[in-house]
Amino acid sequence: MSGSGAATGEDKKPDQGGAHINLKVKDQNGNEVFFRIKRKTQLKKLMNAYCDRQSVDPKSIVFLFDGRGIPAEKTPDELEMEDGDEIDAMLHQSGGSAI
Amino acid sequence: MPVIQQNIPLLYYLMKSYSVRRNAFLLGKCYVKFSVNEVACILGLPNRGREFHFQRSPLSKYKHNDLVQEIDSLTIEEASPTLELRRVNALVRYVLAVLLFPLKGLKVPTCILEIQGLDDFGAVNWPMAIHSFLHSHFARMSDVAAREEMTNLGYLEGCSVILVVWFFEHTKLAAPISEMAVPRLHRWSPKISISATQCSELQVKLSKPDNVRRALVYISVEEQDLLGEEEEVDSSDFEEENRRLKKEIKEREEAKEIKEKRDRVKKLKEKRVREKKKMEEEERKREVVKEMKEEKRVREKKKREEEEKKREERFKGYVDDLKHFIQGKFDALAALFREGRPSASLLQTPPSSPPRSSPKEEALKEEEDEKALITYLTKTQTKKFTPVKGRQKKRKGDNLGHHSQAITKYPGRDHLSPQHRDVIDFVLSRYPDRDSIVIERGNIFISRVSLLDILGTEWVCSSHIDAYAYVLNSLIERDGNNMLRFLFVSSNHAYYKRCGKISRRLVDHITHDSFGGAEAIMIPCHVASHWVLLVGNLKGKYWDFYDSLPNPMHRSSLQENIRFLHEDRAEVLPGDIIDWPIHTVEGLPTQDNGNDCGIFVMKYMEASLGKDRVDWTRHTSWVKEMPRIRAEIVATLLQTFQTSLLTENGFCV
Repeated sequence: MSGSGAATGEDKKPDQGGAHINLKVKDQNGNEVFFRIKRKTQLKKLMNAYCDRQSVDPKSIVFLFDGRGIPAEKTPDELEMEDGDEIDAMLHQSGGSAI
Repeated sequence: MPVIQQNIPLLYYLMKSYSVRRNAFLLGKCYVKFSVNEVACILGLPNRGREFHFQRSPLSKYKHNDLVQEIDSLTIEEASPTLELRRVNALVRYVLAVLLFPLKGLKVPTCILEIQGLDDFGAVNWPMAIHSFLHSHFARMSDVAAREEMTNLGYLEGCSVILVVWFFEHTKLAAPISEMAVPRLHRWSPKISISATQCSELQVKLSKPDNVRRALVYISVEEQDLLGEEEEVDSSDFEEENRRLKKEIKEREEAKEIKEKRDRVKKLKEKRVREKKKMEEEERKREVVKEMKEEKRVREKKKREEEEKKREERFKGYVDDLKHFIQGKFDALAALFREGRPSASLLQTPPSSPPRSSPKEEALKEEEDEKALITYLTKTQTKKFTPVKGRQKKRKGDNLGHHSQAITKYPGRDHLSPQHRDVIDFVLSRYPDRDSIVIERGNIFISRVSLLDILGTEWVCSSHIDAYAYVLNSLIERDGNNMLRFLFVSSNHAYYKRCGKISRRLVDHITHDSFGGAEAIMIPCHVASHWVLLVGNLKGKYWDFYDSLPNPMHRSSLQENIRFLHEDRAEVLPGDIIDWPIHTVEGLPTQDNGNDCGIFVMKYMEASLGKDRVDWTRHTSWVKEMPRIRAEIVATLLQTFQTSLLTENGFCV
């Protein structure tokens, strides 16, 4: 499918400045949660922390950075994230039509 | 003698109020006696003389007219003493027969013809005769009147004019034209009368004591001469009568009240009895319902106990099977290790960590958790496989390696080809963690638990549909001569755009080149927890709309999705795609539950890519085959996205 752009295979970037980075996770309703994680930590950790904190099933949430889905094993460095960057936490569209 | 007109309503009223026993009329609230002296005063005839027995007398052959003619004939003839006597006799007969004793049929009794001369006439006590004659008629008529037969009382024989005068003499309802006239007949106007309307009000008027006179008002000297001695009115007797009457009325009213009260009490009692009966009936009904509930509860309890027993037996079978299975595999592996060549297929199964000897309760609980997946298993299958933890929730401290050793069960497993079954078993064993991402490509992220959703009966999310579209695209690129080339737009595009997020990246692949080579545009749409599909025919310039739960409401956001697409790729897409007509595809196979719409969208996508027109009647078995379809979709996804892993491990993809 030509619509699935490859977000994999990012080269590892050198550490930019400090070891930590501040990231903002914003949900569909505009609520914001701030996280401070190490640049080399997998974003899975941030995602799990967010889901735990918001009491939501990780299965039902998709995290977007710059309009793309975030692979859980990637680190902020690998995605070239900068301090203060925003991550969108979107609910998965799920359907079965239980009407 | 004045001709006082007939006053029928008044006579009827008086007849109704006459008491035979008392020889008196009830005027208002008291009885007033009708006496012989009063008759004497009214007519001016003395109340003395011999008795005259009128009633016993037979009727003569003469009628009133005969008497009148006789008088006329005597008037014409010449005067003579004999003639004079005859004239007097004729007049006396006329007065008696016509005026004082008129009978029905204008007949004349023989006794009247026997009165000869004025001396004979003067010797008779006429008032008494008239009174007794009237009295006898009153008795008969009041009897009729008491039966309420007011319309026809019959003919009142006798001098009824006396009654009318008597009535006005005893009331103050009208004024006399001459108060002192004697006889009293002359005191009242001949036209005096009481109409029917006035009669109805008489009772009220006479109720006032002032309106009734118990005795005649004024007895003049001339009248004194007329009165008889024996006719003294015993007032004390009447007073007593009247008191008794009042008492009777009072008693009647009280009795009436008591009766009404009794009726009310009776009604209340009846009502209470009815209510009581009703309550008893309801109570009975409640008891019956209670009994039924109790029976039901007992039945359910029995059923539960039976189920419990069956489960226990089955669990025992599981444990034995598990022991045999593990022992067999362990022996085989040990033998292979001794040969120095471990096999990939054997690595799926546990070489170590035999199953925990969990207590019965825990095992049952786990079994319940896995209810959805286990129910489809037949007994023969349970011999082959251990109870599983396919959707087991992650628990802290759990050894993930432990879970990786189990083989996941799902409804479509039996219907799969062995190759597909092995692919699924293998890949899932490699991703034992619930949330580990099994499929990842661009914006597609499918975790283990999310794959299990498709394998089971759960809802489908956008990643599944996007991934399946990727599979179809790969299929066309590899061997797609008979399939339409298509552009795919993820449902997330409209979703992100609606939420104000960056959405362009999801349609970046739509370029002049790709658009030129495509024949269709596929847009799955998410409408209120329901998946529908929009397929644009680029040559025919129309949209086909696929809905597995046909409902016009599901078309609500289609135009918006198309508009969003055009907005982001206006430089590539023709402007008129917004105006293309949207045709609803008829005759589609449709879902029979609330879970499968996503799967139907995937299958619609697949089916609509054929170059020939689809015969949807050939796909009516989708509903029945849903477990297989779901499992095949997963197998296909894994073959496409895990190609390298599978080929490395000896799978043929």
